[in-house]
Amino acid sequence: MVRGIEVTCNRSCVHGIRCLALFLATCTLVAKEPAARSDHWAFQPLNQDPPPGHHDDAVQNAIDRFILARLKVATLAPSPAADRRTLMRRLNFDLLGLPPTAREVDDFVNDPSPGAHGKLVDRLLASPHFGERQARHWLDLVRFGESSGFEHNTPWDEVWRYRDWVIHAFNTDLPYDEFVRLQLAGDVLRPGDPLAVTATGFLACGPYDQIGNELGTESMRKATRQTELGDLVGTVAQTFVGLSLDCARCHEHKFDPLSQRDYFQVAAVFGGTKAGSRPNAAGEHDAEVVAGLRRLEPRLTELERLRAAASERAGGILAEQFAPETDHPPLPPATPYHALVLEDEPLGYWRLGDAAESKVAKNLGTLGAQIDGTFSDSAQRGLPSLVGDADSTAMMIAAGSRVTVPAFEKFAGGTGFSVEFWAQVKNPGAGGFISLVGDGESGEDFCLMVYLGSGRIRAHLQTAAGIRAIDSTRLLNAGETVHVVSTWDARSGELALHFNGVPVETSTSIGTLPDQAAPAHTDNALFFGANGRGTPGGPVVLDEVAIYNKPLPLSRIALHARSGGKDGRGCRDWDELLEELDDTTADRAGEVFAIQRDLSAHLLHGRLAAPAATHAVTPYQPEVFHVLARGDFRNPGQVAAPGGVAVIGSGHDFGMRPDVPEAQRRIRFARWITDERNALLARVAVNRVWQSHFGVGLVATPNDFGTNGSPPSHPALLDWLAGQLIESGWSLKMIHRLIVTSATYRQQSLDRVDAGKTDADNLLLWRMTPRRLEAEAVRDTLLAVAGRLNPRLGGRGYRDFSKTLQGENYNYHPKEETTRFGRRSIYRMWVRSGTPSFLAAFDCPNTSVRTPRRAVTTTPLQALALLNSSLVDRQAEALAGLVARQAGEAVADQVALTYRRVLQRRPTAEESESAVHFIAAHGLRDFCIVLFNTNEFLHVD
Amino acid sequence: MSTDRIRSTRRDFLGSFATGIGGIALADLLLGDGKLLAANAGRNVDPRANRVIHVFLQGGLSHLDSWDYKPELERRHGEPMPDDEKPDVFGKKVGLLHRPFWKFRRHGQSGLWGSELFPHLCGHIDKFAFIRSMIAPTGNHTPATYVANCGFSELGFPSMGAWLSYGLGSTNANLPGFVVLGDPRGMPAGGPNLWGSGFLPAQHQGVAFRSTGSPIADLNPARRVSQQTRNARFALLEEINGRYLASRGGAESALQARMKSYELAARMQLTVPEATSIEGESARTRTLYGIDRKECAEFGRMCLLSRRLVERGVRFVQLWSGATLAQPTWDSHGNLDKEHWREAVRIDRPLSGLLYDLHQRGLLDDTLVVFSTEFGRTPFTEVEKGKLGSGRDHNQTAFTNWLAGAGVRGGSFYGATDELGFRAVENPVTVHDFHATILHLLGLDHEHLTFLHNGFERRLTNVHGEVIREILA
Repeated sequence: MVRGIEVTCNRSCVHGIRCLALFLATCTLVAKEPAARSDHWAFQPLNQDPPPGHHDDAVQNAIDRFILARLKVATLAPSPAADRRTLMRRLNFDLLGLPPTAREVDDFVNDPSPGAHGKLVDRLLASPHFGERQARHWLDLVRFGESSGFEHNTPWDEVWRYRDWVIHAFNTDLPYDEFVRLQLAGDVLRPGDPLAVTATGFLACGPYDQIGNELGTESMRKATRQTELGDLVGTVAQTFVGLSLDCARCHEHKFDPLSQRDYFQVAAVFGGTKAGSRPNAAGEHDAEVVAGLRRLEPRLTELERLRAAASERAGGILAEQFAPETDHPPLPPATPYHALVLEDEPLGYWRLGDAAESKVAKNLGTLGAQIDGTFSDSAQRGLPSLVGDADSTAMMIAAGSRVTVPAFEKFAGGTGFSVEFWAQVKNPGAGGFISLVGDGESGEDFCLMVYLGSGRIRAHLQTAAGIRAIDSTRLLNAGETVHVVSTWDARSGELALHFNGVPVETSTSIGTLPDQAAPAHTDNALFFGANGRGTPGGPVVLDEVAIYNKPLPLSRIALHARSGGKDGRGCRDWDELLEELDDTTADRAGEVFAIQRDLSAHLLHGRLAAPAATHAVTPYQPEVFHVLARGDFRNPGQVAAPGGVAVIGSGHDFGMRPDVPEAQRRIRFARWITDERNALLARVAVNRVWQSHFGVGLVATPNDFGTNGSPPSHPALLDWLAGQLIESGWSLKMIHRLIVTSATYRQQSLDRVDAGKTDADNLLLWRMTPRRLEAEAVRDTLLAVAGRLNPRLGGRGYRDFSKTLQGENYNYHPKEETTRFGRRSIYRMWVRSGTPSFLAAFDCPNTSVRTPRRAVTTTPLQALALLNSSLVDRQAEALAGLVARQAGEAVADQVALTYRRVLQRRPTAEESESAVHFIAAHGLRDFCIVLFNTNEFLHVD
Repeated sequence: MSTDRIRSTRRDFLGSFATGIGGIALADLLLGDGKLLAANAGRNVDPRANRVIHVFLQGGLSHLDSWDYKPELERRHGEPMPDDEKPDVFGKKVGLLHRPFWKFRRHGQSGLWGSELFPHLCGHIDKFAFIRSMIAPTGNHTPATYVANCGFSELGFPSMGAWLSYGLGSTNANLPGFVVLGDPRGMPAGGPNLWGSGFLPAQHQGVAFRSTGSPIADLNPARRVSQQTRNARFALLEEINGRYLASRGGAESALQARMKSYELAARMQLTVPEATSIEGESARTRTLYGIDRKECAEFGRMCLLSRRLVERGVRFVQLWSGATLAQPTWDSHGNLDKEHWREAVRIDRPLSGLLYDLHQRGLLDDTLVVFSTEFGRTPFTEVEKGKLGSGRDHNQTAFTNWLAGAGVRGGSFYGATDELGFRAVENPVTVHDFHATILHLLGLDHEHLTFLHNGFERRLTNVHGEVIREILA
């Protein structure tokens, strides 16, 4: 027997250790030398035996009965339940990847109800951060990257939508079988559904060699393609069924019953897949999304109220900083842009979409035909509209071209005015007018101009009281489309500018009319484009010009901007918005952040449902596939028609012709692999969930369920969980819930000498295994405890690099993250060019490697990163500032608050004394750094 | 401080606490605790070399103009390729044959050929073992460069330096085991994956020293922190961690290892600046490395730095010659005479100085110097049929690499190309064979340096590779 074990150890250490440990633990040899046949355990149907033992006090659910039965054989007792603070941390990190707040810990610790644990679990499972955490595990598996790699290493700007889709799928608990099918064939299973198309990002996020595929010789292209397919087939087989099918590309699999024929049948299924950008057909809107966006309106109003309140507290700067997100899809055509504008009763509203042959710019506002405009000859018309729902067009103005509206004098009697338009500036540096409104005698009583100067928008107001002008501090970018509203409130006298629905910061300009000496306007005229003095303007594209004799309320301005905005346009970077937020207001950000996060959870779906384009599969009809000797395209053998893997069975022979249309191949494969008779699909899935909670799966080799992988430590439990997954309608949240509410999961993690002697690696789960935080969790937690985590969900990633282009090759240069509010690490744009040094130090994997389980190392580079990096230092500074403000003068109180934020507990008297002593000599900031470096901070017990 | 003689295979990340930077001390600690498998690694062949300096020429050095002398090419200058050859080359153009762009002559006692492209290196020819029959699996730069460095044409496989770090650990816990000195003109095509750790634990990846400021990220605090405060931080951290360890029973090895890692970090903070400072080197040494000459000062500093690093126990130092492909490299599709000369002048004198210095310090006895490129170049010029151009296309069917130093039979060569130098015809050597030979010299059997990843027993050499015994001393 012992000999047998030694042999096993030589073949596979993992397997060996586990056999040995289990042997020692149970005095029975639990796993024989694995058989390289289809009688291998993983290829058998699910064992449907009921859980062993019976329900008693030590049992929370059936999982415990499986675990206790094995512990009993080894005469080991389970560990007692951990205290609530420990459980809270454990649950938060496992489910969300973020720490709980001190208040959340208190609430849980003080909740006397027996259902407190379950309630907490349900709350965490419902958190939008759950999907982010689970998606990170998934992206590791599918070697998610956001550039092509290889020589060109071209950035892919739309792959983040697949990341968002994964987050969304986990958050909404998309049934796992559907989750799988959509990733393999969403585009052809549900054509026209943007979410399903985006799901196929799975097939499109691996490395891609442009040179090898597109340049070079025929032979190079073929060889490149075969290699690429090997990577894809391997990813499909390992991710969904835990089989190293890519081993069988060059020869029959050495250990598993997988043939070259199996490999090439599957290769033929995916032979027509290629990554590319897929534009979304216009007007595709999911009714559910429409409803969801509508439901957002009250929350937007709430946000608006908070924003106003914050603004009062901290001055105008906040108004913009707590602005609603703008990078979300337009409200669907149910409320077209022009209808919204008309609801606000403009005096004049010119869509500039009038037919090319007519010279009249028709006024749709309340003053109607009285103030129709006239296009000048040089105004270029018929350009694509700048607003999302346009059934009309836009106008380009250049030097001298304009629309003139004569005899306009109706501002009198209103409560102020608003001027609204959409503009796309070709050359912001060039300057020039984009709008001019004049009123009164000789223009001296009243004149308003909104125009472009030095790349900024300026609102210029001239009344009898004098001249005022404000400049936007933000510079416009060339080609940027911006929604501009200038408002003047006659009662308060406030003059303001709004871009894309939010007030912008402005500076008072000392600037005056471009030619003040000669205000040569025509009385009562209104111009778009060059004014009466013929000052050169443009080139600028203008659209949808409206004027009102009242200041538009903020909520309406925001609504106009959102409705007219095209996806991705007007996207203000939240980081950028918050960049200059001062510390005082940072403390109050929490409330607004919470709303922001909830909103962005909805918007995540909205963005997914209405993308402009997404990086996904762009299929083509492939050539007939052959079994290639040694995997070499120069040695074709028998024809390989699309098919499944024989050992899995359940209809693996598709009976398809070798030239069957591409779409049918993937549809069939997706249905075959998710057939309930395929026990591997559920086994592999539940094993990954288990691993996410215990560090090691029931099968320790999560991507290899073959004979060379580890045998399951608890085979009956694995099968029972797999059965539960299927029975629940493939609900992964249900499996998470089962696991984290079990007594097994709730155990303490303290080492026990007696048990350690029998089962040092805790394979039998006599305690919870303590774990170190993963790279992303370290960074996210640092931001969170410092109050600097921007919890916004989804959207374009942040970039912690600058990129340069040499010829056709992109190079990425790491740069220091400097934003004050960092987003979660999953939102980094993961280009294939090294991992940022902080994350790399903590074992963040390479974006081209399928990583089902991360390495956990301990190195001096980690110590250096936590002690010295500017990321850590900045969080320490932020936390110290926050603590000093909130805890007051007493150092002991500061210590207590720091402990509560960083470690979610109060310091002991002894700890407090040491800390007070340290702070007196070295300050609070360095104390924060010390706490960030502690084992207690980095470990989840 | 050596696990050199421990003989078992390293396969799973269960052992990953034990390896890499500072890994030896951690391994000792953990092994003492009896928690881990006896670590692993190991040399199962008699080692001849303890460390490697690898010079990689990106873009494709022309073997025909440097080390592989073809008199027939001289004679047939301006003639077409023979009819029976149907070159399947990257640029798809087969112009007329071009004679070597530099004059060749015999050097040293061995009388081996070398051209005037590398006048200084030719002076060391008796130290070199040439492999004149190298072949590559592809004529596409980036995949070929991945193969040359990682053994596979795809992304995501560990580099040779990472494998060595994993297999042998470092001999100086205060320095990284694998240091990369990039070409200051730019990142090579293929990027940091070229020295990545692939699926091996991240600690084995090459540490690319930055050419300005602190060579390693976060070596010093982001803001000025007094030594007093630094010491106090360590002391308080030790105290807090000590209490936490005690509260957890006092025997958690992961916690102990992390506490230990702070001591190593502190030592690293002292060691790295000392190792990387070349200010104390004499004027004579700087001249030897060409640091006083504008055209080769950059590479001279890299060479001198590499000597200082191997002296201090760094296992693998890699020097890159050739920036990204749109910038200056060895990729001379045209104007080969100017482009190759520009690149050769940068490295010839410094590398020659390095070889001399290693030799005079006795370091060459157990330091292996590797000089390699991703593929060679064609004997014909890359222009339309019937024309004579000024540059050569990629040639995956023949190129020349050399080894020097520890365990290498100097003044020897292995394999041969055809009379025009287009194909390796005698004893073709794959990159896998080349890697197997390097590992062998370091005492590692390439078939036993493995890592189990997603069902594959992965190796640097995939499932191939034969040690080239003919060039071993």
